[in-house]
Amino acid sequence: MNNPFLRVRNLKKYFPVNSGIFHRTKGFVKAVDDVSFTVDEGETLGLVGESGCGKSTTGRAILRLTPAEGSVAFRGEELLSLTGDKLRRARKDFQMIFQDPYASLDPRMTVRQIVSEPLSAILGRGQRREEDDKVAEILEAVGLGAGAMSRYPFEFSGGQRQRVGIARALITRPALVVADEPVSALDVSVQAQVINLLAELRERFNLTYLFIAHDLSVVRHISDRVAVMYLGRVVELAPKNALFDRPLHPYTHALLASVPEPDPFRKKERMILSGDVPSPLNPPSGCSFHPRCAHAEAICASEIPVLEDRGKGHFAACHFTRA
Amino acid sequence: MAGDIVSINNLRVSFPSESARIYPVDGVSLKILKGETLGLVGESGCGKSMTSLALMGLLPRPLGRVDGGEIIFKGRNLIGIADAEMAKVRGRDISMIFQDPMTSLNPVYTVGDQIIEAIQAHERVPRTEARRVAVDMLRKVGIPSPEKRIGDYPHLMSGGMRQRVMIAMALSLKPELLIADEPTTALDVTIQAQILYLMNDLRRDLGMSILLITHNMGLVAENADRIAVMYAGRILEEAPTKGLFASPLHPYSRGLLDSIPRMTGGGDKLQSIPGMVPPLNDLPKGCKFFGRCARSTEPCETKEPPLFQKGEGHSVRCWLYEE
Amino acid sequence: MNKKYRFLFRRKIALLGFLFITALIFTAIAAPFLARVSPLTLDPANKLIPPGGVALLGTDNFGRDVASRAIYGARTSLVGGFGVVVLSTGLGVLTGAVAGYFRRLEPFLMRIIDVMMAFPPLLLALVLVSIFGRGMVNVIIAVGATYLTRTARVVYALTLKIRTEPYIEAATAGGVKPFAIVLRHILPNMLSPIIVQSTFTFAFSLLDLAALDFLGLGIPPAIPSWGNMLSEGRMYLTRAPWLLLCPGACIVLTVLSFNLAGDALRDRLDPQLRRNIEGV
Repeated sequence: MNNPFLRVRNLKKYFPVNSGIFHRTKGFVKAVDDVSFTVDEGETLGLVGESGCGKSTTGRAILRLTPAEGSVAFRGEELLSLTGDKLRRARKDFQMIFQDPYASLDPRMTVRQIVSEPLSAILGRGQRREEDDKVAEILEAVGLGAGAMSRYPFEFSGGQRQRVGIARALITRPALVVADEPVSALDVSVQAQVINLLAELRERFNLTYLFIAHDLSVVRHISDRVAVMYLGRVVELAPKNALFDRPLHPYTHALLASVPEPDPFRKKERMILSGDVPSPLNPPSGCSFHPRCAHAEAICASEIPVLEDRGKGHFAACHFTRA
Repeated sequence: MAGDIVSINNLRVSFPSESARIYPVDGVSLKILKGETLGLVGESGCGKSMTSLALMGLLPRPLGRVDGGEIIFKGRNLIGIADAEMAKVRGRDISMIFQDPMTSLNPVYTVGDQIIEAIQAHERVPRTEARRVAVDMLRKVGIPSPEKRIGDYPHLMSGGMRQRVMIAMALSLKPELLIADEPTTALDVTIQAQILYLMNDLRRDLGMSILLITHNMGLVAENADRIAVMYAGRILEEAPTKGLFASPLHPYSRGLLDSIPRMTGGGDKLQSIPGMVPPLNDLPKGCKFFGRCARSTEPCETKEPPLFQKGEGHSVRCWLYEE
Repeated sequence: MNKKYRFLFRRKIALLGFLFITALIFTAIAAPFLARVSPLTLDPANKLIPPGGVALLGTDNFGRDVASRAIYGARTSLVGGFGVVVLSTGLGVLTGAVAGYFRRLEPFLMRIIDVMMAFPPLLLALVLVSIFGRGMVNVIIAVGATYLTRTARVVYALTLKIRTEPYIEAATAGGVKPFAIVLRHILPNMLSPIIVQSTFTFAFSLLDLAALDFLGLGIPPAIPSWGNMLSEGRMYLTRAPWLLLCPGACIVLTVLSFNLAGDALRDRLDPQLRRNIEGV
């Protein structure tokens, strides 16, 4: 097998928990615990899960925004070992779209400054005219128009700000874009506009997305394959239709059943999970879902299930369910 | 009229702005029947939260004020009654749960103290009795070992737990109307499902009515009996839940429904509503949806449509439905 | 309604503060033209003359013109205060921002600041002056060092807050170098609190400068400064109260004006607060 576009292997991110006056490390929050997956070129992989499951940390670790262990190979090149200028130059090819369209734009900068910053920071300061042309072009592509250049973020609505954020991510013409909850802060009608824009830009610039979101319907809409995370681990990964129509992991099942559907005529099966997501500081032994799982047996509390292929690229980490 | 617990007639709420006063709520009329759940949906800034705050007598003073209309609760107009009177109504007759369970509990008191205080503010009962009620209520909302958790401070609880505490507090006085303003927006879907299941259960047991305010069409589809769609301070459409989802009449309602990605199927381009919500100080003269509406005709620009009755309990504010 | 008037009142008072500061700066620049005689001219024949006679504000025990000395004193005070602000803000911002953004340097830098803060400010200034000796520059360094610690603390806290903002992470993702992030993103976003802090530093440092002069540890007595005037005049408290009243009033009014201006700037520059006041 040759090198996949993006291959994440055994990614781990443990946050030390310190206490006492000498800040001794008491334990670790395993935010990301042994996560592996691959993404093909041009594909969109959706990464879903509830808050605290580690999906955002995974995305940030891949983009080297937070240190992590394991391996992230991007077009065959190991990203986790890059440092200094090498890392900075490599950033040209992988960029991020952030969740909060208000806080992710520096309020004291004009749109031109915000959007052109990665350009000059990574590729070096170029001719101002040339830079302006590039900024205008990308603003046009995200539906804002060059007239936005001299304005400040506060002059824009949430949806327009998110377009500025998208323009900033695409100005260096990256191949991989990690989108961290890019529409969750937006109103329903605007959300649809931005989702359509992301899909359109994917075709136009031949982008590969790692699309992180908690909204399952949005993820189903835009992704090719979907990975479900629970307490720092991937519990299921499959092509989207297989995952949504025939989920294998009991957690995925419960998650899908919990989403309220805008269709009062459809009788859904009720499946309400009991209890909360356990603290990632002291995750349950074995399969971390076992205390909430209806099918749990003795083995679930003692052995961590492996994420294995159950056929046709449908991976699940569960001792019991079989495809 | 028999059966309704609250009827809001022609409510108008105003705030000062730089130039003239703006009207976040402008001529809203709603009825909530005994034992029903009315869903009030709309995007941010449409006035849905202001409506509920006016109903609770909690408009931010001195800026916000009710400029007209009446709120008849059990035969009594709540507009203009004394603060002390309103304080009695609040909690005992009408309770509210807010979006953010993190900030609506006081961090320096235990959750038990806060519930007991709420009970004792309305009923002259000894502390031991109030405590018993509080423990009971916490058990009812699904908090395990409530005798122990009642002494916990809010920060020791998860978001879902805190929202349960808020619900327990809101329901400890057995109000006849519960206003739930985005009660689960800050929570994960599996917890959201738990909370709504709980609210519906309690509604049946206590025979109360719920005003469910949300932007999530899925939530109202699954939980509301009737739905009112709000936009720019007005009700644009009001209908029984099934009626609205089967045949949304107003172009805005239809647009909202079309712009949500579905869990079933999916794939193609989403229908989005062009443009964005107009600012309250610069609303269109006629129909407030004019400018974003694909089906607007000549009177829409200059004349605001009244609500037209279209069938049983279904009314719509749109010139397309003029007889 | 009541609130509205209170705000108008506050705004007017702040305006007075700004006017006073402007007038003071003008006075300091135009001192040679405004002063009737040189502040150094001794006139033993006209000692301790009360205000209104030969001299507008009277003369002191050497027969020097009090008004002239006060006018030149404004020069000394403004230069001193300005020096302290430049020194303490410049170094304080650098220390605080570097300690806040490059967390590895934090233990080293902030412990130095903590040690400096453990001394009472005036005492620290006294120690420094007694080591380096008197004179304008040394006094500015001494007082500046004490205010540096406060600015560094404030900037450090602000940096910790701003560095977690998503737009900082976005800049990192966009390949911006760490030091450029501090310069381009972190510092501009704390500009308003720094400006406000500086006005207060200015006001308080005037008091400290005057106190050092008063204690005889500031600038040499011959140079006119409000603190020196107080120090010399205190012998004649009963016989010639104007010797104390004049520099005293100058100090009080100047400090008050800078505090009012600082308050107004804070209201103005903090968008959150501005909204509340203007009632939008």
